Amino acid sequence: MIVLDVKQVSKAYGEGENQVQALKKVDFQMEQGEFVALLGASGSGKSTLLNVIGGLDTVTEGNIVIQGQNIAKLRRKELAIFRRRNIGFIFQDYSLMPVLNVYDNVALPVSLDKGRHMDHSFIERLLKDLKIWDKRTKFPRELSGGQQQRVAIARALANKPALVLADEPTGNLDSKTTNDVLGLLKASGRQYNQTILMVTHNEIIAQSCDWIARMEDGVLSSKREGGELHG
Amino acid sequence: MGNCVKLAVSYIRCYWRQAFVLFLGISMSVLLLSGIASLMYSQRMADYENAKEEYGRWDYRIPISENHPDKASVTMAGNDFQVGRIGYFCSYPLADPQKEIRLCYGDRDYLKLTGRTLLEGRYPKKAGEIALDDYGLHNLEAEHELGSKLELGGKSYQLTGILSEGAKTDSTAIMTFAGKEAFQDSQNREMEAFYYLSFAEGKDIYRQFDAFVKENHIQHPGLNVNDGTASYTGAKPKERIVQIVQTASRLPEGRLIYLMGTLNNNNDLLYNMVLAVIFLFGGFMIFSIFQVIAEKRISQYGMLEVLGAGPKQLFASLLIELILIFLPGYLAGNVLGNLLARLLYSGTFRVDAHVFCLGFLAFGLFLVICCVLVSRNMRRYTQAEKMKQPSGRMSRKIRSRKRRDLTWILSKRFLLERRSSFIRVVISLSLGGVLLACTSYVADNAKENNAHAMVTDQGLYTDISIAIEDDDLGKIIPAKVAADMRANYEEKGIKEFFPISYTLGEIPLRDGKFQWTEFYPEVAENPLPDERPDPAIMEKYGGIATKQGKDDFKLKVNVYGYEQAQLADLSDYVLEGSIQPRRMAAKNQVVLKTLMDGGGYYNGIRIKPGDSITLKVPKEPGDQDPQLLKFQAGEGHYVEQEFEVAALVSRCVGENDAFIGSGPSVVSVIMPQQMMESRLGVTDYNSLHINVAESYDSQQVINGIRPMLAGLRQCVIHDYSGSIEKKNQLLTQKTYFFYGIGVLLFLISLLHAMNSMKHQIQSRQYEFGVLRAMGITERRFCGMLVRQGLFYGLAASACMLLLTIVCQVVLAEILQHIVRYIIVNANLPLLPCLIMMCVNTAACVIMMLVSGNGLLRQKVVDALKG
Repeated sequence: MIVLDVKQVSKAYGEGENQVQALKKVDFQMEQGEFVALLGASGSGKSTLLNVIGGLDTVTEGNIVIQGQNIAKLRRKELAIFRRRNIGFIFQDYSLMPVLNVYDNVALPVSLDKGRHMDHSFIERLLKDLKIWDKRTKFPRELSGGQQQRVAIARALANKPALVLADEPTGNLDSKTTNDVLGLLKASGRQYNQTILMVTHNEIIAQSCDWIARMEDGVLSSKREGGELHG
Repeated sequence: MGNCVKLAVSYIRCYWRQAFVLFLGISMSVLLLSGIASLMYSQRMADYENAKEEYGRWDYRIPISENHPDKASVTMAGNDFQVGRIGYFCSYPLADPQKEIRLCYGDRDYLKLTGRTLLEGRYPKKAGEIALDDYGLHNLEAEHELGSKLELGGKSYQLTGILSEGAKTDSTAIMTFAGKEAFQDSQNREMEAFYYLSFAEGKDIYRQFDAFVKENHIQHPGLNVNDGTASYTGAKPKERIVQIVQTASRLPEGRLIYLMGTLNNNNDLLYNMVLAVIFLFGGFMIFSIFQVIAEKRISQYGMLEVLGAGPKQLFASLLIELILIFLPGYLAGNVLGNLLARLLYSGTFRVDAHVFCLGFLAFGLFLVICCVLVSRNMRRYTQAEKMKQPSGRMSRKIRSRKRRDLTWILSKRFLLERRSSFIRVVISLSLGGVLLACTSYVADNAKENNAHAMVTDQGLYTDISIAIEDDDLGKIIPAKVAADMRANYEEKGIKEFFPISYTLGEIPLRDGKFQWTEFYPEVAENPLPDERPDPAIMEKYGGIATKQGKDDFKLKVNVYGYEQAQLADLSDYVLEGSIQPRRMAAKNQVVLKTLMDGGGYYNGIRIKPGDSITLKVPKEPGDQDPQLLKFQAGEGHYVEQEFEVAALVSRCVGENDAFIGSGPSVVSVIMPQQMMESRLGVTDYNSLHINVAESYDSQQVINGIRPMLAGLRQCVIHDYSGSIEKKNQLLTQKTYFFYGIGVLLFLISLLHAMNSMKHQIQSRQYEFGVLRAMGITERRFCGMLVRQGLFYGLAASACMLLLTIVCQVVLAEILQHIVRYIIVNANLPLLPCLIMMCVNTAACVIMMLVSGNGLLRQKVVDALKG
């Protein structure tokens, strides 16, 4: 089942002579449960692609379909609701709310959906799985980088999204913590049958994923297992 | 230093929004200070101009003796002085059995300095020619026609000119102006001559006068200072602040009141306090914005320290950045402030250059202090802490277990995490309201006070007053004259008619009831060296107060008979008790106008409502016994009656100044007219007071009633309608001025606070970006902002209410005891407060939504970049 379908997406910044083409007709699909690495050098367009897929930025051309829904056709309110129910974000700088403790940070996306039931047993399981249950009343500034990233992962998974977008989640971590975090991401992806697209510029990390999508100057030129991608 | 300048310029370029917010903050603070200062300065100058018109343009009046140089040989300018104008005036009394009339001569400079202009005809030149003003024409019953004849002191004069009434004088004599020739044979006629002097403005007038008299070798016993303008010109020597403090410290009580009152008179304490409060308010605003900016940059300064920048370099960079923003901000604020004030001010507008310079220095110094404080705060954190950024203490409780919607918690914590910033914004928001509430409180009280002071202290009770200005109780306005005037009064153009009867009385104050003996030098225990009993009072009345025993005194009092409407008017001046005119007559009650000191205290006579007093008055007004007014003629000469005191008042209207004086240092007993007749046997009147009907002119009314006063040459007619109209215009202008200042303060402070609040919201841009990335809808995002706005608004309203109550109590004390208002309304201005609370709250919500809308227009990715 296709969860993410990126169709001929282009993104340009600026106008006239100063225009920069960040994405050039990017086209690929992701199946449910896949864990894909988006690899590329700095400035190649990885984060831009992640942002447009997550609806944080708009495309200049093309369409992005998630779970059968073309997000370009959604109104702002619908997009916000769609995002919180279907997409989980993990940022390189964790982006935790400094004024909330660990537990509330994880519960925050669910609480934004007032009508939905807050599954506290699920949050508890997530925190225990990620080994931060004992840190649940701590504030982000009281945690190490690895612990903060685990909180960010828990928050991304709390709403049980179909798609998780991770922007260099291990960029700020040491190698041991990197391995731990990657293991956790993979495990939770498998456990909850989630599709994960992870931006990285680390080849070794990328190799541990199901397949690698390579970005170079805004062009996606990579291979799925056994086959050439469009682009 | 070069690197610091580069760093500062880079910061301004990179964080141009922060720089702009700070620029706005500085501009608004300066706008407020310069605008208000120029408004107050312009108003003060307008007051000065009015005072010059009312009291004359002269600074000093010196009696001329034989030793004085002629006007032509007076040195007009020297190293330390410049005489603006010197006027010559002389006069002598004309023999008249009924009225005090003086034949006067004043040169052109005198006429200019006293504001007398020729309205019709020409100034007298030859002997036998005369010029009069309206007051003279009324009271000499002269025809208002040039060329008409009138007889004065047994000599016939021809009216050649009509003069304007000119500035106020301390004499009630009728001044008739003649040519210089009339004084050539007047050596033996009790002639008085004066020089009226005015000096160049802008320099110390008192020093100029000192230099002038030294240069011209002029002795000046009997010197008069123009009291009406002295507070503006500085014609009186100012006591040094140290001396004022020393004198205050020696006082047994009321030290603070004396200190503040004297400082206010000598050093414009209240004017300077207003400017100081505005400066502090502006400074507070700037500091609060600067602090928020600095907090945001703590991690960067930490980074710079890691890279090797020392505390001095960081301080220099911060200071240079501030100076670069301050200079254009100060100029822009001044230009805008003065432009805005110019638009608001209806009269001649003047820029207060003094405040421009002083403000520059004060704000400059303040910014240095800001830098020092912020740098010191930054040094408190370790470098690692700086890079992490500090955060306040918060509860660790897991809120999502009990509350589905965590945005409530976020709203609250966003506000309270930086508690000091929150408090700063709340105080900023409330200060505007407090300033408006206080200004409107002062404006209301000033309006009430001026209206009442006009009626009592300035004697402008009614449009026309007809009074016996003579210290002979036998001279009266017969009741029949008053009855004739009252009959068909509407046909005569009279709107209201109040006759007042008068007699002199004495009351005993035994067993320590009279405390303030120092009020009267004749009984003062420790009189000041230059304070001696008034010889005229001692000769005629044997002193106002007389000592009878150790703690027993007798006090001369003015006794007035009022009509019911006038008694009701006194209710405004009640200190204790109540005035019910009908009840007073039935219960044998009187009103006591008690003594009041400069601080507004009135516990000098221990008589309270409900106490009884024994009043002794002459039985026959025409009694010529020389001891009568000393109350030492035989008992058969007096009537003695006992009364109950219904109320104590601070002032009364239509006072008689001809006997023991009037004002706060003279006690009066007031009773209904019918009691004056039935209990004291006083049936005739001392003064008649008339308000003119709207469609009539006061001149018409005077012409209409003058025949009724035929034969009563001792009566003096005063036409106050012009003065009352002018005073009312000034009063309206002043009221608008006060309200204008209040609204200006409120609006600018609101803008100021909104600017700070917007900055607070923008400083949460990243957190809001994360929330949006996680899928908060715009509606809920706005809901969060509305909640924060409401929270700010309610907190600011509560703070405003609290501060207003405190300020109002302080202001009431200041108005009552330092500015010495007659009546001070102690009620909180509830309606303005409620309106401002609503405006404040609405402004907070709107500002939040406006700022939030700015964030929503931003892309989430840009918001996340911070």
